[in-house]
Amino acid sequence: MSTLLALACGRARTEDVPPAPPAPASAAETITFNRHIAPIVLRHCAPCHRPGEAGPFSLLTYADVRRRAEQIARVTQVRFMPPWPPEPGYGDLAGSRRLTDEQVALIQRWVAEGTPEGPPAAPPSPPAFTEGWQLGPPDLVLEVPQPYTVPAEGTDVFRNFVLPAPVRGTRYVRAMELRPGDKRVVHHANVLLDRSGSARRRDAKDPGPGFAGMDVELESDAFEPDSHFLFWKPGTAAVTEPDDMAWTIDERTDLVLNLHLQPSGKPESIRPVVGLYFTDRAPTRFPMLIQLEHDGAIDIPADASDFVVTDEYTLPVEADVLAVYPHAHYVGKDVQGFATLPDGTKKWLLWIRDWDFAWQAVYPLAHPLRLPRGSVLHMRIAYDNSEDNVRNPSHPPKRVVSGNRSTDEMGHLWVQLLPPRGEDRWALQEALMRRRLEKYPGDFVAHANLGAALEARGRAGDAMEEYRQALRARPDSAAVHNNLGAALQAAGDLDGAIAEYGRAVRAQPDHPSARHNLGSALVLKGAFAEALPHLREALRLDPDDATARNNLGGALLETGRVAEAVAQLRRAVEADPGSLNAQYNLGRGLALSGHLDEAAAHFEAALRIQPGDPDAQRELAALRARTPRRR
Amino acid sequence: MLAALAASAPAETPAFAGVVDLEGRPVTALPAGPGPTVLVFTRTDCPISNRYAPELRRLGQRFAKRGVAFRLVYVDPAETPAAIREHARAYGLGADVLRDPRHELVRLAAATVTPEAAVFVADPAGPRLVYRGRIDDRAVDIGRTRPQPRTRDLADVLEALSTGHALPPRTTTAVGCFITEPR
Repeated sequence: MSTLLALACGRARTEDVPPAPPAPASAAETITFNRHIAPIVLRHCAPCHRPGEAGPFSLLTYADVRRRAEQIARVTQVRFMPPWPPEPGYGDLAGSRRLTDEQVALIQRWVAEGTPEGPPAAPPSPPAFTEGWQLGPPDLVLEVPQPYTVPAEGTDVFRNFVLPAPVRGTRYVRAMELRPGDKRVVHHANVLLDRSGSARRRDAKDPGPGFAGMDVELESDAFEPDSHFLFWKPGTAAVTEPDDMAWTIDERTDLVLNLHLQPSGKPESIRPVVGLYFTDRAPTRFPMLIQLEHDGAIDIPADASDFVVTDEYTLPVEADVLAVYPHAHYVGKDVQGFATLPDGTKKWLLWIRDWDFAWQAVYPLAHPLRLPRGSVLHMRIAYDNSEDNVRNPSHPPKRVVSGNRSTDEMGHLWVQLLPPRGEDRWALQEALMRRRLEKYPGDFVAHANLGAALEARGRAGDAMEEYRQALRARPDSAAVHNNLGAALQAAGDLDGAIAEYGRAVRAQPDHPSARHNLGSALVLKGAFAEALPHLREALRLDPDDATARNNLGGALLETGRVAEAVAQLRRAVEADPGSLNAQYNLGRGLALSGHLDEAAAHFEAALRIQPGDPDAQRELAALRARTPRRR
Repeated sequence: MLAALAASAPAETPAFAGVVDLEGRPVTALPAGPGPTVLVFTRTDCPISNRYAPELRRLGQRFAKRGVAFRLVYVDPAETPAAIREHARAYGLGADVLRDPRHELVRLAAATVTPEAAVFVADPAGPRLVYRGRIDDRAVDIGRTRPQPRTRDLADVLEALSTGHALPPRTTTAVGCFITEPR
């Protein structure tokens, strides 16, 4: 039961919008809606500007477009619409919504010349749009339990909703569709996976549906690295993964919707719905999200107009870049992501020269970018904390530090990397945590995660040292005491392990894994009576823990509580009929309580699981000696 | 409530033959009374206009008791009375709602975008425009919005007028959705 702590944050993917075909026009030709403008508008505007979508009005017909012609000319000229902040030519990004200079010029000319409709012979028809779920009925629909009302006015609202996933066992998710409610109010959404219950605990403390917070940090007790960007923005149909790259959920998983909401002028009630589409195919390729950041360096004096924060990450293995997600708040100005290859070549990922929080997005690359081992990923974010930045939340400007409020800043560049082999993610993780320790010496999260990565890479001794460093920073971390205990136990130090598990349980009495480990280690040591309360508590915390139930049954047998033992072991066998130990222990319990035929059946089952198991053979032989006539 | 402008104004006062209420009855938008009249040009589907609804409601409440009349002027001839009525109700914008399908008031005030405010005061020579422009400076440009306004231009004008100060005509640049000429 190796565990660790990981910090999670947001992610994404968008659909491709094919570029509009060029609409050639000579200087003398009359620009008309039907011939020149409609193809641009229907392809680049109508996907959002149609009923039910995020655009405030429809742009489907000549009448729709003509009555807003000046507005369209203006917003396309300043490139407010269609929204596509990345600078062209700096990175190979999929799904660009940017109009070409020629398309923008055509629109300007058309409006200047009086918006002629053109020959009505063949008015262009809007493309067919799919209504409802874009991928058909989902396999599982999760709905926010109660509607949430966005106030009529005020600054942007950040709200998080926890959606438990009612599944049994592990499910592989090939696609997710988010229907956020009123798309004119929901500006973007991140979906995070919480396997620790931490988001539920926050939700419980915050009145009203969901909980407030611009960014969500989750703690995880298992190395399940964030692997996929699950991001929605207006125009996103569904977040679809390649066949062999599904993401997983299980009964412990909560989906956490992190929503950015913009007041519209009247109260708006929203009730987001998530649709999940499963596949039976287990993933065979495992991407990983790497976060470049240096939030610890964010301390921007008032009036500073060009405060720069950088970070870099050296790849310990070759990997493909699949997607990037830049993130800053309102003081962010200029965001750059790029890689330098070992031969010195610079490869742009993206450059946003006029950062606007409201239009943040995940940017999948048009083609995976192969980075050789030793390549360096770079993040460079410049901040403008002066009066000139109209989005500055403080007037007059104030000192800005890192944090989760809208008046605080962040500076992140998430990069989705796909290494050739799944186990290479441990190498990526080790390098990431070593980099984190360079930035934040003594950092708890870095030492704890580095310990887990080293343990996974077979370096148990180094791992234990990292765990001890982590405990120096946070002596009461149940998760790390528990990890250190598991590492000691694996190294054969059962007494040392029991001591660490005991510290974990004292630090956090309701830590299921620490209770499980402590009780099970005490069973191994033969301290059966001492083990009982810990195993009972482990089962109270996690009734599905079949191993704890079997160990509890065994300990009850050893302490003479046969009837209770049989009851527990029956449940253990029911939950996992393929468990050798559960079958064997139940056989013993039944034999002790005189149910000899039934006992024999379970010893036989044990021998089917492990033919020749000497304990089961011995017990079965003894049983047959007692009941010769009936066999 | 809406006095007929023609009854008390000189002959050169424009006749707003095309300005109608939601029942289609011709109205004049500018009262002959002593208090200032604010026209706020708007439409149902301009997000920038819509976000000002709570501010307009507050300004209306604050200055109504000081003799200021607020009139919402819907400028898009394609918007139906039913859609406008529903919009005004949903955004809590009150009952003083006009349609200006021929843009007579738009031209009178020289408004270019929604939302844009025009403040008229009564004058022996006819209604006189003393302010035209933004409500406040929250919107700096398309897509560039301050979290809070630094100047509240319309409120400042109304405050001065309602305390008896004479004002020289003033204009500011409003940021919003461009008003398209009707055909």
